[in-house]
Amino acid sequence: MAIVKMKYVSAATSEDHVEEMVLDGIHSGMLHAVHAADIINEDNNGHLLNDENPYSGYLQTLQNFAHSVNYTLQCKESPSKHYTNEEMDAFFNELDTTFGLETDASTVLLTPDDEQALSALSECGFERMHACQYLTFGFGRLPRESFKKLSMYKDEIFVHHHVHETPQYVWMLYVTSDSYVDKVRKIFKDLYFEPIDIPMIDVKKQLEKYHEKIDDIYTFCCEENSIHELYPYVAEINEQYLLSGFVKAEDVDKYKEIFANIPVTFEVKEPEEVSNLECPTLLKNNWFTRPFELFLGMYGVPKYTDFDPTGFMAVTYCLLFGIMFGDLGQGLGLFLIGLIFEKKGQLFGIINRCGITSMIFGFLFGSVFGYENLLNPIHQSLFGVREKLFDVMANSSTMVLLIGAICIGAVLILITQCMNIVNRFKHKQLGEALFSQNGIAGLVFYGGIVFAAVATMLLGWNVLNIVYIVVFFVLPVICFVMKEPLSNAVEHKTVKPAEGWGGYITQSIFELVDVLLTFVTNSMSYLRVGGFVLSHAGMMLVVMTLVEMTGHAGIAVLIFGNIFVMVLEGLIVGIQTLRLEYYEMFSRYYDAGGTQFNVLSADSAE
Amino acid sequence: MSSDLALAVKARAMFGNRLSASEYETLLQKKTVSEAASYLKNETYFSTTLSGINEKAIHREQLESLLRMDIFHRLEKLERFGGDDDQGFIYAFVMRSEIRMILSCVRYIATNDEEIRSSLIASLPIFAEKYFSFNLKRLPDVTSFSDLLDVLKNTPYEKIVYRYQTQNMEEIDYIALEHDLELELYSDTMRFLAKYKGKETSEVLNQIIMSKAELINLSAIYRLKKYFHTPAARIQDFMLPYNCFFKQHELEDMIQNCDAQDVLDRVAKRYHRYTRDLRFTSIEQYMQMIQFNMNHHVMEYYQDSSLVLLSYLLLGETEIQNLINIIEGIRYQIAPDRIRALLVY
Repeated sequence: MAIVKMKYVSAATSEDHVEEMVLDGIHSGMLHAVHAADIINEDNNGHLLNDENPYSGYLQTLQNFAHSVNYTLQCKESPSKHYTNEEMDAFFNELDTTFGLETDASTVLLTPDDEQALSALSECGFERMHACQYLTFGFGRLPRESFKKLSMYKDEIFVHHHVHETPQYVWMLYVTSDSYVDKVRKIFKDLYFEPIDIPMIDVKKQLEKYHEKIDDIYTFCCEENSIHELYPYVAEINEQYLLSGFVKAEDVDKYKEIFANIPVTFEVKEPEEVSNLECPTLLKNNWFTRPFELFLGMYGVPKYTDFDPTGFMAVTYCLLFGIMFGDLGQGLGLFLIGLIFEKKGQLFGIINRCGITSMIFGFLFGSVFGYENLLNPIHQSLFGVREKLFDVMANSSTMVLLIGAICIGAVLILITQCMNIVNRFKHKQLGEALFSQNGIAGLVFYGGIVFAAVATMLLGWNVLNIVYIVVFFVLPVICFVMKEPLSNAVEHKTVKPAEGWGGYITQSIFELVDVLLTFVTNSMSYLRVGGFVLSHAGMMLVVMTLVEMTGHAGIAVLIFGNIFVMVLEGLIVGIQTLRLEYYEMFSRYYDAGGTQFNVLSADSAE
Repeated sequence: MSSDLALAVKARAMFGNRLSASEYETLLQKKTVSEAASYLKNETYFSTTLSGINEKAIHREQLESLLRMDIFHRLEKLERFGGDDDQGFIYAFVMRSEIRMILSCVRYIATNDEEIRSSLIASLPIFAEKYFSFNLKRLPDVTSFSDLLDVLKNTPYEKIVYRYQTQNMEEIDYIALEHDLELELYSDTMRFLAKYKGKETSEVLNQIIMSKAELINLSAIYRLKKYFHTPAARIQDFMLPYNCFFKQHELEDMIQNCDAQDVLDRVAKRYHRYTRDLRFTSIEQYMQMIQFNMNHHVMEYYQDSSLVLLSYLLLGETEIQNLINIIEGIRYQIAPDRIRALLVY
């Protein structure tokens, strides 16, 4: 239930070792890299690594070649050697000469769709097309928008045939006579036609001679290309190449050791020292609370400097779920399902934890798979009651449940207000901590209402005297209305609100109505906790009635009824509890807005 | 009201995806159009529009056309969240394309050159065809003014083009025709805004549109005075008959009595809310920054769907213009610093 401590680590090396440094960075699996654009600025005279990536071109050339000759490229584990650009250029020239193909990446570009289109075109016979003496064939792809315009060229100096299409492009063949070829090419060029060469020869025999080297170079290019794609994370500052980012504080030494074979200098800083960069957040939770990181992640991870609310969320989520879904048997079912499938996803971990509290409250309510009297003897011997500890379906229980739900809500609201106050003080946001609806003013106001209600209704005390009203109601309300000027005063800013006194007071009065209403609606929102206890019991009553009505088929109805209620109500209760967490609790004390810690990998650049 | 809120929320969410300063900076570092296209395709929210493009072979104009198409589709997407009142914005957006197409067509009639016809076909925005007030696909078949008038029948352009009908093609005054069509654009927009009369929105809408025209006028006054030393009487000919923050007599006073620097000072003073912390690099960029700040303010602080839609449209256009500036800068090997000076964000 904490945030893992991070360090900012910047590794610097010379130009000769950039590739090794990036590779080591990827393989370390410890670095949350920071984009180089966030590091460079006018002061440090830094640049992004503008090194062109020739390997994507080479890869494209190889892929074009492979498509042209219908060869499947295979990536090996590692290349046999390091190829220089000259070696690769020479090899591609040799391929061009031998196969009579133009494979330059800048002129011919083939994608899987191109290949599909070529395959469809091959039915026309490449050789037959090339054998035509007075006709010129053009094949390629045209943006769909341009394809629609072809019908507007009414001169009919070409005919076209649609071969293949995607949502963006249409692959087509056009045929024209040699006399019009220049004019037609110009028309297609204006329409952004991307020509693709129509293949000429059968090359299988030649391929046997070259395939090993082709695959080797392909492997080499893939490896180099993936390194280059990570170059956006490398900054160049004063002829030093920096790979920077955040590493877990405990891993810093281990991380440094990974670069032992290359001359790298490290600069390690505390995240506070690099305040212009956002330190990522990695949560550290125990067995019980860890699955709840899923729900926290959906709302947003906390900032590095904030606290991790997962623990509080886990406890309150399980508690509320358990109350709303109190059934010993069904809770056991959830517990087992969660336990079996926990490795399949965090959601099952949450189901497992909720199963535990469902069992506890199911036991207290005396409910097992809808049988409401099964645990009566145990209750009688354990708690010394006449029938059972708490009969949900009894008429007298309804109000107890609803008032109890509001009490739970009131306690949770007060706790979240306290958490917010501590959090705001920690961040030195005095105004928010003292005068906001979730600060001390809000706590005094809401606490005052709760205490007055408890004292009047339960203890019979009349606390509503003038002093109580002024201290607990009037002063907090003044704080709500004057929050901005008071905050400005304690934070040593200009007291006068930005929009002037008149505008501010008018706006604040309207906001006050909203604040007061929010307290009421937030408290009422917890009524659903009691409501779902009744709803669950009601649904199981229906199932048990059906079981009795169906005679011998009763056991099947009991099983399916329980499964139905578990799935339907489990889902609804899960969502409602999540809603309470997000809207009633998080909105009071949690800001999220952090960045998840993600280690740099070969896929990062994709 | 609910559709207002939905549209405002959706527009703000979409606006949140806009290119950031660091993304612009990364783009400025690109050396070729292919690299810029690849970056836009793989790293930005334009990935959907550019998916499937061959970034190695894409032509600059094709890329620009795709980006323009993107904003249109975004606008179309947003209008689904708005009410019927908001549909008019798409027509206002299309009007500019209509004017561009009419001018291209007149050029084709004048020259009767097959290559111009071919370019005309290539530039037709078929994606917005259904919003055009005339049949776009008939334009390539036009060979004379009477053909063009037939295509433009029952549109606001018919009367304007009719005035310029002539047998001698060399006599056509393109600049005047363009000016008249531009005026039609503004008056049509005003007619559209008149629907909002009485509504609170009307004032702000009016301010956005009129200030755009006013800033064009002020920019023209500044340039004509600074670079061409044009006489006041001649400057008047270039003015659009609209004003917003300045009164008409104040504009006339500027034309008559101020030098370029005075014009700039007065603009800075009158538009002070939008010129704070603004650095002057060029008059175009300065005026665009004012509009950008104004639209940004509307986008942030207003809920009304029409206002949010209009500001989203104008901010989106600014972003596309930034990208076009970058792409053209890269294409013509202009130094990043000089391109940066043109960007508005």
